Amino acid sequence: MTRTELIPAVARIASSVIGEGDLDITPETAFASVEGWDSLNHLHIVVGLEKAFGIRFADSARLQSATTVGDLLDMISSARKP
Amino acid sequence: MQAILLALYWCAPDRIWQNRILLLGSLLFLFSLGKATAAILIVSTALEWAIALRLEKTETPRGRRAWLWGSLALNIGLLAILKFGRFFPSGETLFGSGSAWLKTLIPVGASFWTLQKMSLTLDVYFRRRHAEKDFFACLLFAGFFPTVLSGPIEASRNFLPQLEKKRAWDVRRFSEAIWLLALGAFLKAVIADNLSPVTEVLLKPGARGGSVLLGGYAYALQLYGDFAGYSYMARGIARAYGIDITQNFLAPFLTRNLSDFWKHWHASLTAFLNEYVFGPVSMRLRDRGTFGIVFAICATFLASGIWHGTGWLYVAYGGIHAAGISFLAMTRTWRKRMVTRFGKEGWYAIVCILVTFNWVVMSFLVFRSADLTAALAQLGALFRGGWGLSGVSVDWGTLGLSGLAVLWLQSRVLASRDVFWIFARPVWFRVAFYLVLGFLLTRFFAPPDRFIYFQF
Repeated sequence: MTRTELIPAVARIASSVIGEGDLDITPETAFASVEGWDSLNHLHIVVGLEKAFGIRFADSARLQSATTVGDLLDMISSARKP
Repeated sequence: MQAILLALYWCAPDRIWQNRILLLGSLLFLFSLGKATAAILIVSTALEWAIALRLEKTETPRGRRAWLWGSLALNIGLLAILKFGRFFPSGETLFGSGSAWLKTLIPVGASFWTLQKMSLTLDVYFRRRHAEKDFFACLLFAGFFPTVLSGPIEASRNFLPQLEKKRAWDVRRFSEAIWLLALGAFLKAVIADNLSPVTEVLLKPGARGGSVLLGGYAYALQLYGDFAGYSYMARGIARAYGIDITQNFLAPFLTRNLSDFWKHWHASLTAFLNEYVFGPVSMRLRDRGTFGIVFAICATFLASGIWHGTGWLYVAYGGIHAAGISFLAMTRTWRKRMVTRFGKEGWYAIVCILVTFNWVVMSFLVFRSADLTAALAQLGALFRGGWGLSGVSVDWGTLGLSGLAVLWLQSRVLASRDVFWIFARPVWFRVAFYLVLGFLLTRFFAPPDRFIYFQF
């Protein structure tokens, strides 16, 4: 899956966690700019992504420094590489 | 002094001179606070600057973590040595009860600038910014005079890039600075300082339930006026020099849950703790479900409580907020259903605002108390009743008008999500509003009290 193909899945999981209807997100979208994407919801989104893709974000420093949807997409791509 | 510094600053030919003038002003201010404050800040900033540079050159994760822990040990250790002593039940410090020499050594605003300084290393560790090579830029960041006493706590990645280009004079930005200064002065000198004696009367030792409740409301307004007033003025002074710093206060008393409250109250501390305590702890424990979340919340508010002060009183203050936010985290699904059923506005929203405000007031009663025994006595009075106010001299005028003024100002901020809402209004409104502020400042200027947060 490419980054573009991953976006709908990330949007679906984030929308279900935040509960604000369908989110319109792009790789450039900053978490801080999305209403309801706070630190607690961010945690649930990360857990939801790990479950959905069957992956584990192992690099905690990278996980901490993520600020945009694009950062999450990169981390998913890296974690899915064999 | 400020006028001369400001004039020199805006006449400076380039960014280097602008930075030098700001640094000179900051150093003069620091030394006016005391040689110990200035010396500790300069030396500890030099160490932080060196650590950040070494951390950036280190490739291995283990080595990077070692430098990070070095920085944490340095900063937390410094604060612990200077502040922790009163944890002992006897009230003695680590250095014994007669530690007058220690009091002279405790740097003013250390809790604020220590966290700010830590971000020099933290931002490099989390790769949010490169290590700053210019030591004097780091020193200006750590000791920036508008924020050094009581924040807002700024991240280096927000502040340092502003020093890399010349700040250009902008009339609009200068008008915003004036607005922030006027608003801050009003909140401090008219609201907070007039409410101070009202609070004293209502919360005197032995006060009964009604008096404590009303006193809690008065203190909430006073604390808001005091700290938000300071923060607005600090931001206004920084803006007069073309420097943007974090908005520390929005509309805290109109928020619908505690989690939102902390995004509107002392937002810079919340952001710091969220980023460096709640985030790492909750992520590490993300497989542990609700336990992991509640543990991370407790760790965050324990850190917040201890940051505020050295004693069990502040642990209790943090504990009240930890309990409230843990409850929110555990009832997340239920609350979502309630919003779906009753809507975001209307009576459900009003109930949420009232519950949040009263929970916050309860925590402020603890925050204000001299010790845990006094705090428990006042909280106990709330549950023992005695709601009548006979024999209590309440200044209803000051309390009522202050409450209305604060609620109206916060509703304006909430409606536009911005403290600069006034600039969207017609010129006549702005002129009239400034005249009213000016009148209130001259007519109701109260003898100034020390800013409450200066003690931290």
